[in-house]
Amino acid sequence: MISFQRVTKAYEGRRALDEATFDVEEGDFCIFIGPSGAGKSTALRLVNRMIAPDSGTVRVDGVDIATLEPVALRRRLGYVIQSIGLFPHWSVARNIATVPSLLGWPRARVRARVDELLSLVNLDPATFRDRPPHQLSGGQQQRVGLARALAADPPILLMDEPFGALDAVTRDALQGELIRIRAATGKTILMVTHDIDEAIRLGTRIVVFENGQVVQNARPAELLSAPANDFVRALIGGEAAGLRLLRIRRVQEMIDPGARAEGEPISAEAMLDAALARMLVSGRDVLPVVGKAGERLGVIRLADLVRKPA
Amino acid sequence: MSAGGDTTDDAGRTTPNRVILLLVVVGLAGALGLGFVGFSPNRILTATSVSLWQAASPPFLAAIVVAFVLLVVGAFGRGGREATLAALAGAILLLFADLTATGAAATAILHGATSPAARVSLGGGFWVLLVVAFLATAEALQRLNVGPALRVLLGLAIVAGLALLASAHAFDDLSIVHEWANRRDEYAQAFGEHIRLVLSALALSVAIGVPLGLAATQSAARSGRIFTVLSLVQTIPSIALFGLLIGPLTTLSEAVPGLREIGVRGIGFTPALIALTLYGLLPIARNTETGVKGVPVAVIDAARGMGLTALQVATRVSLPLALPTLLAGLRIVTVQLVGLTVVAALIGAGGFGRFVFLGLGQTATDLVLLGALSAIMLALVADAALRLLTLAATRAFVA
Repeated sequence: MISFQRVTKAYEGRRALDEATFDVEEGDFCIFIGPSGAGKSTALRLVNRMIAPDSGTVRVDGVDIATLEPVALRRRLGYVIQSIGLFPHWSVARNIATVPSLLGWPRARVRARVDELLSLVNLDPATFRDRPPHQLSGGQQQRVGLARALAADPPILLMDEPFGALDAVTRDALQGELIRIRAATGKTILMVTHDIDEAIRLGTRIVVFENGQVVQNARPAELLSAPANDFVRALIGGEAAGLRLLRIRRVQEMIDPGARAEGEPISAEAMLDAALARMLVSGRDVLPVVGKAGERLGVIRLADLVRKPA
Repeated sequence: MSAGGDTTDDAGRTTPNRVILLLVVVGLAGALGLGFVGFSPNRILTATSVSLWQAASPPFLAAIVVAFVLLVVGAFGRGGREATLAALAGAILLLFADLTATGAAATAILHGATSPAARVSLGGGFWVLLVVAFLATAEALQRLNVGPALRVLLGLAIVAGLALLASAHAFDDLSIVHEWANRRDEYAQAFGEHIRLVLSALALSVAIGVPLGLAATQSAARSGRIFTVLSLVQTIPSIALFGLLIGPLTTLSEAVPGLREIGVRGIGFTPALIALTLYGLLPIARNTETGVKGVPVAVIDAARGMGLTALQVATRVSLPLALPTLLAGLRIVTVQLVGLTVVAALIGAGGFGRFVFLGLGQTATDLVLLGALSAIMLALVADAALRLLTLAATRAFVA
């Protein structure tokens, strides 16, 4: 859906992006990760032509975006930034309605869409619709920022460190919201972050940048189990990467359906790190597993946690 | 805590409001020591001063005394709301008593005068009381923490009250009103010329200055060049600039056919408009630059990223957010131009300045005063109106 072909962008002689080549497929939640100045934000801003490449081509849906009108292109791409950038002189509703209004939607449709989006990002429309942005907390503002980016239902969402300025609790909640919203809307998302835990929790694909070059482009499990070089190994936390592997697999992948066990059961939806934590706390090496309705599905054993997935 | 405010000292005693106390002392000294009005047999001769107690009839004297009592009560009150309100009432009463007393005194004096050419002019005592009343009002409003909207409303109420008194012929016999009455048509024309010049120059300043300010936000080098030139213009004395434009414009209007027919000449409206516009550019451009630069980068980035065109970013985001700063610049320029337009009368552009220069030529102080006071009043009214507008814009966009 989005494809970078040998894209280079230099600032004052330094290559912020150096012959970057990679593809993002439709429906991917693609994370750009790397240290500051590695080129991840540059790559993101090239997609909606906030900056232009020195050489190489960026394609969206197979079309070279250099041939597109930037304004028209941007209206098809949702855009969320770290500092949010809500318009302080407009109400929450008018902020969200920015792109629909530019596209000339009828008023009634815009109003209905605003309420729909506020509900989607878990803000009560009646409470928040007419508030000015400065009355909102940072987390609420970024929810509005997200709603604004989704307003005209763009197929692709570009997010530049959207949760970077939020406290840990708010960030965790918003990551959860984003997973839910993505499941509900099926957007293709490109997100820049420097937080490896965020990348592993959210991403279905992780593109690692170092000094403007793409050093690895892989699924999270692959990144954690087979880092391409020492840089990626350090990024995923060296030995601690093993523990991170537990965070991307669910209990249901490791169930032994026939067996029974004593103790407090764990949900099949839970991540493996939760199962390990439960075992450590309870002193058991086997836990009963239950489904959503509380039905017994089998057990998970300590030995299963270290087994490579099939 | 404001300097001179009611404060409790170490011994627990309250000290009086020193500002109002000082104003009371100055007011009393001025009222008693200086002539309240001046009398002269005709408009050119130097006036002989008439003291307050000789000029003002008992009811007006009583009103002035009551006003001073209220001010003293306000000054010695314990800084409470009631005391400050008393001071405010005293100040406003003093303003009205001062003005009506002079009007009434003029009527009484002229009634006893033999010559119809006799004049009663405003004296030093009158001016001292007027300034004291004005400053005491400002101080009381400050202590009462009155918001800008209420201040303007109070100002309007006072102006309305004075207008009512004026229409009831309360001031008809003052020499300055005589000067006005003798030149009603000319005054109306001057008023029109003044307004026309100021508004035209304002419109041009905004039309040129806002794009210049926007251009200045694009690069530091460009900003430096623009403001070097505009600052240079500000350093040219206004009289010199008006004069300097006469030569080139005369040549131009003679060289290019048709220009003279549309009113472009070396003197009059055109050179005045050009000079005034040049003076207006710096504050407008500077405030545009400051205002637009004050818009958070993230807001502009988000606007562009969502697909607003450059024009939409400017008109829907940058300029609305810069509007309070822009309006502040407009207010500065308006007040500045109302004053400068007085000088434009020198090159035949008309306006209130015509009375000032006419009066200077005839050594008729009241005529000078008529022109100057009119310009001052116009500036104050414009200032208040634009303050209100700025306030409304700030509320609408930032609240």
